[in-house]
Amino acid sequence: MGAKLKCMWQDNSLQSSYDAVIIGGGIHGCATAYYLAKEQGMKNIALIERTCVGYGGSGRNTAIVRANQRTQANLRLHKEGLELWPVLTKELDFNLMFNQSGHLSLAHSESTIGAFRINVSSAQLSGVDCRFIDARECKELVPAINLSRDITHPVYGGIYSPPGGVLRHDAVMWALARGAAQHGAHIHEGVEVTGIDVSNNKITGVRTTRGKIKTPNVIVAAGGYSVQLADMVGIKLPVHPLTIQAMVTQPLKPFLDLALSSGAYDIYITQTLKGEIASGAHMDEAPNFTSAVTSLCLKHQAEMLTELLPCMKGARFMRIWAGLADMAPDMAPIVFGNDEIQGFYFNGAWGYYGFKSGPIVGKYMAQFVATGETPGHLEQFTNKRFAQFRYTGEKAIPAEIGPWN
Amino acid sequence: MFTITCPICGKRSQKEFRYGNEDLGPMPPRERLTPELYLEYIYSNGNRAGVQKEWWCHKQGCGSWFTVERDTLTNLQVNTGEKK
Amino acid sequence: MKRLHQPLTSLIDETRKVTFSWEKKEFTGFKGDTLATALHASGVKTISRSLKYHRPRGLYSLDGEGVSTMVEVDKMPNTRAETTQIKNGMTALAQNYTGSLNFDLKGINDKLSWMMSAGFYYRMFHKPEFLWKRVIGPIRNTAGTGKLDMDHDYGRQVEERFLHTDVCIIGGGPAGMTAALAAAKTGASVILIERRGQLGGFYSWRTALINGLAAVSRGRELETQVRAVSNILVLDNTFAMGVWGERQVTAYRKGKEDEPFFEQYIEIMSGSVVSATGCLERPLVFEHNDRPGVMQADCAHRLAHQYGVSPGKRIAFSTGDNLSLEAAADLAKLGLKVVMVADSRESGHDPELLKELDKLNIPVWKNYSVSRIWGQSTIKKARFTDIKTGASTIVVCDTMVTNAGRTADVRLLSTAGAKVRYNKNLGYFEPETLPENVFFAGRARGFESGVNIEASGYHAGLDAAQALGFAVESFRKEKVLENEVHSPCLIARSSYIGKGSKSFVCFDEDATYKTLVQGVEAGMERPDLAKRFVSVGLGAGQSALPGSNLSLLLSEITGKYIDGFRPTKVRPPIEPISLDTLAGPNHAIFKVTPLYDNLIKTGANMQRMGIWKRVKYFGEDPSCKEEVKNVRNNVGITDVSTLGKFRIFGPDAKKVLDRIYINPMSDFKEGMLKYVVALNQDGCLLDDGVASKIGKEDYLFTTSTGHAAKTIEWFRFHSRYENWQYNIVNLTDQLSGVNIAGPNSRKVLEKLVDIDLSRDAFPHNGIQKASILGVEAWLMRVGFVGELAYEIHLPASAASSLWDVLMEAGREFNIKPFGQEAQFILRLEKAHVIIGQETEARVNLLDVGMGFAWAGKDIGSRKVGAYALEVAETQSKRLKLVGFTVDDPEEFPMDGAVIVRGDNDVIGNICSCRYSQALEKPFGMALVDESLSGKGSKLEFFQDGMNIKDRIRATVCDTPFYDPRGLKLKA
Repeated sequence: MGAKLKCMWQDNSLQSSYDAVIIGGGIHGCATAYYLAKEQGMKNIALIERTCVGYGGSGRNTAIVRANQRTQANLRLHKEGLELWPVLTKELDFNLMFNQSGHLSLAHSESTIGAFRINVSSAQLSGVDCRFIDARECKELVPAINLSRDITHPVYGGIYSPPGGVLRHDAVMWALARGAAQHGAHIHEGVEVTGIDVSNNKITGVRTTRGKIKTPNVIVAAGGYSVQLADMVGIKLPVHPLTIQAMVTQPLKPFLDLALSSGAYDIYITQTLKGEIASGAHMDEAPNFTSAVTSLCLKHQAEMLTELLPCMKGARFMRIWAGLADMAPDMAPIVFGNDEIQGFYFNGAWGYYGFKSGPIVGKYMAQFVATGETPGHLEQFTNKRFAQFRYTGEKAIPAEIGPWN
Repeated sequence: MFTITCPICGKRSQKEFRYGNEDLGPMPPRERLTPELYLEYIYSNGNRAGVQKEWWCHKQGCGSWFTVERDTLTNLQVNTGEKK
Repeated sequence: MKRLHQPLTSLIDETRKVTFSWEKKEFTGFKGDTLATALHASGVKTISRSLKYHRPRGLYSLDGEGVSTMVEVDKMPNTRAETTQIKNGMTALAQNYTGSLNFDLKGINDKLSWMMSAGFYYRMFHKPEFLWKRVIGPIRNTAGTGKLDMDHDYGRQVEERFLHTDVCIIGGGPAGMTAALAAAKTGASVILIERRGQLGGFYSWRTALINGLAAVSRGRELETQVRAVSNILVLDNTFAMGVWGERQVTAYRKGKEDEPFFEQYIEIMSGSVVSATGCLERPLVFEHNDRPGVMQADCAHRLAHQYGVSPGKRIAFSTGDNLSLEAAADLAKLGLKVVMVADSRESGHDPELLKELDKLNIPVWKNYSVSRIWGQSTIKKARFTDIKTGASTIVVCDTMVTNAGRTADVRLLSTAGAKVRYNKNLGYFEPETLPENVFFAGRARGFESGVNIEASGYHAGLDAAQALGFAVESFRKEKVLENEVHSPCLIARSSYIGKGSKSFVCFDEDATYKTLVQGVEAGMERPDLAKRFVSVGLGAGQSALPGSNLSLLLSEITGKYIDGFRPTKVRPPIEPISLDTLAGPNHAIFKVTPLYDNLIKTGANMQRMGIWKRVKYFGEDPSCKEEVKNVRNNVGITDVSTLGKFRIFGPDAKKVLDRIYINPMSDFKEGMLKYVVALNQDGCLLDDGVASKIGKEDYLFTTSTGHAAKTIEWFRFHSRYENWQYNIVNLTDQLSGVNIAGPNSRKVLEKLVDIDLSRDAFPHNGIQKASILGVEAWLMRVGFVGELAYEIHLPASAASSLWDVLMEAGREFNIKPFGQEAQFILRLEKAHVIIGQETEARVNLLDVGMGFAWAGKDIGSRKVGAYALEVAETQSKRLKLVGFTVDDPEEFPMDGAVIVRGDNDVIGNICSCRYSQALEKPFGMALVDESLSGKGSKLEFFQDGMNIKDRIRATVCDTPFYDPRGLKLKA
């Protein structure tokens, strides 16, 4: 315990060629690198990161994990993802601080309960512990909840998912990067990709601020910047980069044991091990790359939190930050590869679901790259769905006017 | 926080407006449409990192639609035509 | 305890005693005291316990930057004792201890700190697997500082204030005040924000001469000038939270005794911003630098000069700037025992101050700093070490006044987006680039002389006004900046602190020099990585104290040049704000229709739906059996005022309707309504309603409740490239509506209108103008619920009377009101789709079986969504909307139950399911894979709570379920 912590990953010199180049040092990129090197035997690989590992959305999200998605395919993927955290903790020999506290998603009308039934029923069918609880049970789990009928969105009940929880995002990032490096992957921080070379519809290399790299495989996992990388090879995707904000209160003694979310109140909160209430949900309407925080969002969260959890009037916000989320019109990710352009793999549009899916999707992406064949779980996320107007069912709310059309 | 300058009401907070996509001109005529072109049009896939011309509606004001040029790297409107 | 006599700078009123309680014991102080000063005066040194090691902590800066001084005041946790004024009856408690504040049982953590290295938790407790689950609880209980009481109402009188100004100046010290005066002189409107109760900044507690006048007097002189200027708004007691995009400044103000609010949230849109926030004392890092009794120089100075409180009995200094020398001299002049002053600088000492200290017999040790102190809750002695030679001397003292010089307070500028770089001459990070129209002034620019500080503020004020186009040149020459030479303190820590395991870099999170070194060894040397890995500056103090020390120490540990370790961006709010104040007064705003009182009188159960409160059901039965039966057999009445109502007219009105609605628009018949559907570009249903041509180029149409507010925006968006001439008017709030439905509805209405209501004269889907109660109304024969029904739209002011008259007229026909739930069942029996209930983002018009509405392949009008329908039209394997009845009437699936194929393949879900009295079994509509959408297909439902292998079986059937030929509707 007093022992020295060795340098987590080394700075390697950039080679002139790699078997695969992963662009983006976030959770998806690092997990892909880790599994490529560890499970697919691809050791000569590089991960290129413009700033530092975990600098983007991976280090800025609220690190809530759960498996109660709306579509069954997505649900199964996230179920596997949820089961992976304890395995990873052991494998990476790093405490990822997985607090399996449970996840409670509140319903504020009878129609929401109907809408939630799809998630709950699908989860139970897939063997995920997930159930409806009534308002009184919600109050037992979260004593701070306001059960008054006179608030904007009275609480009718919720979906309780005991296997959900929260992790320490930094720990996950550092452990995955260290794991990838230990298995031979080269992690290059502070390197920016300036171009992707394609010849005869095949990937031939990547151009960076530190020079050219020859490679037959490129995996894009750059979060909010992914669409611009796809654009480099002429692929247009219906994805908008949007700034999403999160904030924390000063540390308080524990009063919220589980991860709590409420769509109507625009709330997504947990209490960290340190005692802060971390809260986030607000997403911009207009595409931008600013990661700018706004007083609007801070105030809005206070309005929402104090109505649902009145005792939070006694808490104080001490920090707000923001990151980029890349959002597709059906709020589901876009994953494809090795089709129009051989050796080009895209893993993006994770919106605000990027963290919980990171390791499991990285595992399948590694399989994808090694075999060239789309793994079953990822098929649903093809970019082909848009031109056929066949969206995934992940978005529960009906068609709405807004930034899309 | 950023502001949008409505040509009728002047400079106001972002919260009064609705974003209405990049200004791509009228939809291409039916005979030229393909699913890909249509998608590119309705979802404006440009994702420009820099200044883009786009539509905004002053929903909590006069209700008009108008175009502005906004830098997506800063959220600042350029060429507002107003004195700074 | 008797206070020191200091009339010029004093903030307290010794004639007014204030009684408060601390840790359940009664204490007294004076009006003007903060909780921290009153406690210190009463001999209370330990006021909190630290987050991780539960070390005793006391006051430090008097500005409340760190958690060390956070206490619970009148139930409110994490309140800063240093900035909270005492009031009679105030109850204050210490936080974060087990046992008692002075003997915290968790203080054992401090003894065990040797094992808690950097990233300790990342490498601990995860093996074996069960261990982590067991330690999470204890870890959580140990962490956290303040405590929220679930049952306490924390709500207080709060206000919101939204302001606009030309120039917003933050910091009411000499530079801020001269900036305000200068900017105001040019004609600009000015807001001046000051966190303390009085203006003057660091002049307020000093008697040193500025241009021959005591600093405090000069400060008051400027304050008087500022307060006399009409275009300067002074916001004192106001804490700036940050500068956001486009120079929006947010702040909160603490109410004074005579003000009607406890706290006020303030938002200011400003043309330009001047940051005049002065300097912070950079903390000196040494062994046990967090003990009660260790304080900053301004803190000691202010305690004595402003509050008449003696910092201690034997005071030692280890500082690095001239203001500290001044403080030492001032304390001694008050008769306090200043043992000695160690100054970490080699040169740059103010010769006048050195002379004065010499006269006062206070030895000044240059190039020395304190490296360790002894004592737990009080200091017993200290070791001073020569920075170069390491020669050490032990000094007996009970108070240690320390700093490592000063550093510019750039927190506010950082929130505005300023980047910083290291300035060797000043010894701190200064802004490198400033955002547009943001300026900074005063001490933070490196000025020490009062004359220069004031001149710097003056010019910044002019700059800020000039940026907005105000004429300033004639004012420029009034003040001139003179040159200054500096020899700043360059160290962040003392030499000879050993491993630094008790040398705290961040008080908030108990991060030490030792853990920082360990972080660097782990490869975490970038400030943004180190701060997360070691936990520095992530606490409530918002890196005010550790801020630039982190960079200096990382540079020192790695041996790399400091400019590569620029501090990370400061995140707002730099002053934590209570959620109560931030949220402001109640925001639970909703709309009700003009029929609200009528409905309540009739026993309505209201529920919030969107922005409206609407009737869910009447009386006691949520299943609405009687409401439904009465509509089917007699006549029901319901409030439809929330429906969107619009008129569109003009030469191109038809073209817009043609664009928005997927239906053909060329077949309007006079006096008839048309069901219309609006799609989005994906072909999904967005809205539906009825439309009618009511004159030449003149149309009336309705929308669903939820879409009403967005309709005009949507129409205009889709005609934005056309130069169409049309006018669209939203009549939603002007017109209220009542629907009477049921076989007897005609008989009721006949009593009130004089038009012919017979089937031939006024058929289904007809629309007529009629006079009702002497008011002109639109009558529409629409049949959402599937019965003979009339919708009456009339001016909102007449709606309440109409309701009463209809109830009276309908009494003989047994008229009863019905709500949303009854309507839901009634329309479901007719298989009428509710958008959002039977539709979702992945199903289009054709999928829900409403292709009849589509005008077909369209070239000219470019109907919204038509192209997507064309593409999807020929596809297979899409979800389809079907009607079903449950096979076993005893089983009752609910909305959202999933349709399963095989063991667990989900291939659809129920949209709506209710019990039908007409069919005598549960029925509903579902979205299901096309392969199971044919009549007679067997559906297997699963829903939560069922045995995993069990299914509820149902059969796909024709729709509508009720009155399939529409005979009742068209009666």
